[in-house]
Amino acid sequence: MTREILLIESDAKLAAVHCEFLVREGYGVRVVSDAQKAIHAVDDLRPDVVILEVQLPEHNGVEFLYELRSYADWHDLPVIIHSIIPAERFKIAESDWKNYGVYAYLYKPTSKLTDLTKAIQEAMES
Amino acid sequence: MLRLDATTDRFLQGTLDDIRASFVTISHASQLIGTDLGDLLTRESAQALQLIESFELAAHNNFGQLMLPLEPVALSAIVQDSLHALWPMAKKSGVELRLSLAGKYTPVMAHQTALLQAMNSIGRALIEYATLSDTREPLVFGVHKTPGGIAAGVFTTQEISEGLSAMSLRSGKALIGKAKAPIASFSSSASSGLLLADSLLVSMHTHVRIGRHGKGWGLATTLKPSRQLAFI
Repeated sequence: MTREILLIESDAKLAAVHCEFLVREGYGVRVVSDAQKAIHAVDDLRPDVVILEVQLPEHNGVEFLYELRSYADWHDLPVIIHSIIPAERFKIAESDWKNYGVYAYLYKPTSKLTDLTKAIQEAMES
Repeated sequence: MLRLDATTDRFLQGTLDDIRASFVTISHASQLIGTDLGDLLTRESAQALQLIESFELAAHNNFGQLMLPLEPVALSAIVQDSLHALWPMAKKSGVELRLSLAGKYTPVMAHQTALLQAMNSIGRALIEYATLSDTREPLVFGVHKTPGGIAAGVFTTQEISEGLSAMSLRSGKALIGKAKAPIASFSSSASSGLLLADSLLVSMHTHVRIGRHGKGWGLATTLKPSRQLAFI
């Protein structure tokens, strides 16, 4: 059975690259470009993992995360943040990210694509 | 000193984020290609991304709303992290990296991220320098005590006196912004990396300098030990 990933990414070029990579790795991928569409996509796709860029137009990724966790059905859905913004800029403690079910925070400029697959595999096994 | 207002600071931040996003796209797309050309693009974009990170920190510290806070940092750990980060680049370039940490050292007062970036810039420049020689001498990432504090740097036994000297570093600093490759023995990106490293180190009250470690010469910096922790 194909594992499904919801990729929330507002940069169309990066979304295309990451989608291509994840499909090659054998995952089913749906891409949405903003936080509002993302909540509907979670309900519709019921993904195994969400990959979230926190810098999104209008509602940012942190707001999406808070909303996602407000639904009992999605309390345990693993979220991997894959962002152009370093975690330090949010002034959110690492423990708070974990409390919101963020499995890993990958900073795009220093992470490789293989770091992403490793995080996905670990999140799915957890 | 000139300081940017909050609006200009945010504009600078936004522009840097956009440039960073473009290089991330190139880097990640090139990892998908998986050929020698792909590897080249990955390495070049990684170098560009590191320059952006260094520039961002230096610009915020020198002109923006952020002053880099100094705290006790284990210099040996920074040097090891830098060696680890540069290992793939060195391997691709056929340059052997070695670690030389004789003894234990008191933590130094530094900004951890800025210091790691400065060490990475020094390491990248020396790896590039090592590839110019047929002999490809190993590079040593070393830490040692000096009368002025604790020194950390990247060193080689390769002959560097002609291409890299205290004078070439000084003239490089004078040429920044006026010449494409202000330090003649390095490429423009490596030169910029070194001068940005120097700018980051200024915030820690030190500089990039020519240094000696055992039988080797290289680029190093000396930091003051943390006074608080020196007594523990």
